[in-house]
Amino acid sequence: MKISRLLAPIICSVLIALAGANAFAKPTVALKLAGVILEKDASGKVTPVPVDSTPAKPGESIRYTITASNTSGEIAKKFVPTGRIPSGTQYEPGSSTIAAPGHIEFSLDNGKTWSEKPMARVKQPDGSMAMKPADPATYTNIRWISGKDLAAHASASYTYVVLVK
Amino acid sequence: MKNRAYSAGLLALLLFVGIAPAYATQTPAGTTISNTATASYTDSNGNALTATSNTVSTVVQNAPTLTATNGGNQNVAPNTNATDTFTLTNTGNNAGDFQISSPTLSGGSSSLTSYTVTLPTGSTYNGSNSTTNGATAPTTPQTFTSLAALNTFLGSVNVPSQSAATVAVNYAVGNTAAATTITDTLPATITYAAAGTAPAATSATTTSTETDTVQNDARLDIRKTSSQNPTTGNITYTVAINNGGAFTAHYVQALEQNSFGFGLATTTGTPGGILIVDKVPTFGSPTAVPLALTATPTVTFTRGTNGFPNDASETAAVYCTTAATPASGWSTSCPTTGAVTYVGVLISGGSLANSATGGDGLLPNASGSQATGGTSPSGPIVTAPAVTLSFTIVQPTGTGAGTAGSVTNVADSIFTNNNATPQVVGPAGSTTDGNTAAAATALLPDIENTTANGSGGAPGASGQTSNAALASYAVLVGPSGFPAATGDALSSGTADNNHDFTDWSFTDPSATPTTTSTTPGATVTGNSTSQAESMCVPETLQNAGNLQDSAISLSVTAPTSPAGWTAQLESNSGCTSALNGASAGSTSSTATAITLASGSSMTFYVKYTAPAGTPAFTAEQAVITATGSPNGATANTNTTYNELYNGFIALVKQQTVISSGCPTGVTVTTICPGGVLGYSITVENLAKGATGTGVNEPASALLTNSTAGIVVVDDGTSGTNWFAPIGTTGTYVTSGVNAVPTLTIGGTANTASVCTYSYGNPAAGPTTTFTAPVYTSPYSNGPSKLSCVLGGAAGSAYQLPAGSNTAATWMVFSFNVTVRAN
Repeated sequence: MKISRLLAPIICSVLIALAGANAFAKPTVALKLAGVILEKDASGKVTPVPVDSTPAKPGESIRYTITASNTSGEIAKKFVPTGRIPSGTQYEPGSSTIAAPGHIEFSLDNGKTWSEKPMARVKQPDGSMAMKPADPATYTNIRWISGKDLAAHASASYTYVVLVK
Repeated sequence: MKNRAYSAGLLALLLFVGIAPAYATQTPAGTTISNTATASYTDSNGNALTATSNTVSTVVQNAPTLTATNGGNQNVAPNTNATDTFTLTNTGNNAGDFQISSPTLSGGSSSLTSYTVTLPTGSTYNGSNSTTNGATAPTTPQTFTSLAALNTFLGSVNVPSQSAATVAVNYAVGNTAAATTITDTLPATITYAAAGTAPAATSATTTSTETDTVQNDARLDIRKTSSQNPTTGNITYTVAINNGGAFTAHYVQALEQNSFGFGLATTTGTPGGILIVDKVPTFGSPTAVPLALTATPTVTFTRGTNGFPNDASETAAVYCTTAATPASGWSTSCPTTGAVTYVGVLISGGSLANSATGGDGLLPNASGSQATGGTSPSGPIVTAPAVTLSFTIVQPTGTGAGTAGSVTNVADSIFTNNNATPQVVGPAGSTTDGNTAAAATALLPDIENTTANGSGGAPGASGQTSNAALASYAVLVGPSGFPAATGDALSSGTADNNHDFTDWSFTDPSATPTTTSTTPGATVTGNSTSQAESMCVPETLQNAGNLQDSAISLSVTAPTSPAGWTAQLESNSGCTSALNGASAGSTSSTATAITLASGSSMTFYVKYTAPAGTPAFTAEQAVITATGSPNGATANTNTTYNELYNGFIALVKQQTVISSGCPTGVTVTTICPGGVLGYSITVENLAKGATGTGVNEPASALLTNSTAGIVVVDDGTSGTNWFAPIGTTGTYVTSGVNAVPTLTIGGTANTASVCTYSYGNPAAGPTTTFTAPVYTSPYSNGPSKLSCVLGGAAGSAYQLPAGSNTAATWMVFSFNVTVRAN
């Protein structure tokens, strides 16, 4: 029993150490998504209303906010958050920003390919096809490439706005 | 239309470049919009890790919206049926049913007639109003005569999102004045039924307003002008025709009937035509006749210009008719013989069809005329005609031809307007075109547009042109009643109307003309007047020119021999009132500022006073000159003469020994008892006769004896005449007239004389019975006095013409007496 009493803390410490060694190796990031409808009154004043409090109407804008929280003591390296442009909505160009030297990329194919300026094949008046900048209304996803890590116990937010079609 | 085309083009362009219009696609109501974020990262060892967020969701609600547009403001014609088409587009995110709330139509005499709805493909019945939910709604036009019925239908059908239905508002413009606006307002809503958790919703009211402007219906503005050749006087008319309204002027179907003569029914398939009719001016009295065309009229037009359709098979052609009315007899033959009564232009043919919205006829060319023109001549002013007709006529001649307005002319027309019930429009108004001869009644000619079309003038009629023949002044003066008489007053051998004359006789009662000549002849001498004698001679002045002359003057110059003659122009038969201020009697007299209308005449008088000493049987000549307004540099005068006689019937008595009665071998110087003396009385008319070539001096201007006849009285008992007593023997010189007297006229025996006879001394009787002398003692004698009406009974006796001063013309009255033998 003495041994047990003496070994127990040691064993626990070892286990804890072992456990702690494993936790530090795998950073944990918690994502929270919030949406608000930007309701405009007649005077143009915008009032954000949580999406779960009011239905959306065509023509209204929804601002989504992604909050990433590194809940671990490990650095989440190459952290890249990604948002969707839900069906029935379209991205409002310029509604999202990122500090330099980071950049924002968009996908036209649900995240298979990404580009800062997606291009699409467009039929010309003469019938030929040409690559033109894609209509933002056709974006399916957005992601933020900061080139930075999400430090342990750090948080970061990312916002973008979509328009209910 | 331009706006609509622009909008359609813009929409096409937007679709083409892939930019969706605002209402292109909406998220359907009831749709759940869900979103989830993710993230990727690595650990220190480069192991890829991900994170996923919570899901955020919201449901898309009903958002009913619509747009209401219209076909654009349009022009409508009075008395037509118009349609305003509104387009209701469901721009929201669900299918819904439209409703129309309190539409209004106002302005002029407009009135709603019906609504016509056309649904888009994909519309379905929604189960209300006894319809089957989900059943396909018709896309064919549905017409309703009330708003309630319209809304019942609209409420029963759902129009898909992003689809449009049209609602046509049909109305009657009514008799609404031009420039009136008709406002058509259509308020609409759309309602969406509940969709899942999305509740039903109704849009706000959207209103579309179309403002139509009433503009003049088709209106033929016709401008007629004329010009005159300053040399020939020919008058050229130009008729400019333009559709000054805002809508097409259509054909009159009735004109294709064979009775008109155009042959349209057999030569073309196009119904009728537009006819412009111009009655050829007429002139003359008592029956005015058309003035002759100088050539075939011409018509000009250019397809595609000034409202003439750009249609190779539509044309305008000249026609003429010689009929009494413009309802028949039309032909392309236009003779220049003066038989053409109407000239016309027929606009016909074409392949664009005689539709109400365009096609054949004359298209509107509002800027080509000024309906409110109305200056002289009245009627509209056409500045850009679609069709121009031109023709030339000879100028009128005769009395009044030069009077301003002696020739007038109007152009009329008939066409069909755009009335809901097409009307044949003519100068007399409108009639229904039933393709019957009724159209002919609209062809009433010569109805002048006196107030211009903009002021309610006769539609399709021109103002009136007014012309006259070139001025031609001509004044005539001559014998009373015969101003145009010709004569040879100066015995030149040729008569003309400057030498016509009037013989006039006067007598001094105290010194009656007595022959002193012993032989007859052209010249007979006699005694002279012993005192001044006046006479009042009538004359006629005539304006033979073709217009009024207000500057006619008359002058008279009295005879110059013997000195002392005077003359004065007078206005009355008593010669007591001076004519137009004529100067008092002198050797001449002048009256001025006499006004005479063309063709009219006036009688004036000249009072002459012959001085004492005027010889008998001698023409004393006065001259009267009329002077009218000149014709340019050519003077306008005419003269007549008065031949004034102190007696003009001269008797020259001669005696001859028919047989001496003396024994053979007895030399006698005179006559013996039993001898016969013959007396002849030559009766001459010394007045100037109608001599000279071309003379037509009227009888009334020449002196003859009256119908009472020349009565020769020869009283043998007077003085020492042939039945005078011989001393105290109780006998007489002769046994009186021994036989019925004889008469020759121009050497030809005339037995028509009527004589009475008296017998004895003093003569007793008279008796109409001639009793030959019986030579018994002492008084059985023949007539001692005779009185004979020469050449017939009084009242029908021979009238000895002026100029009877030769044996070929004069009368010789003869009788014989026998010298008494006991």
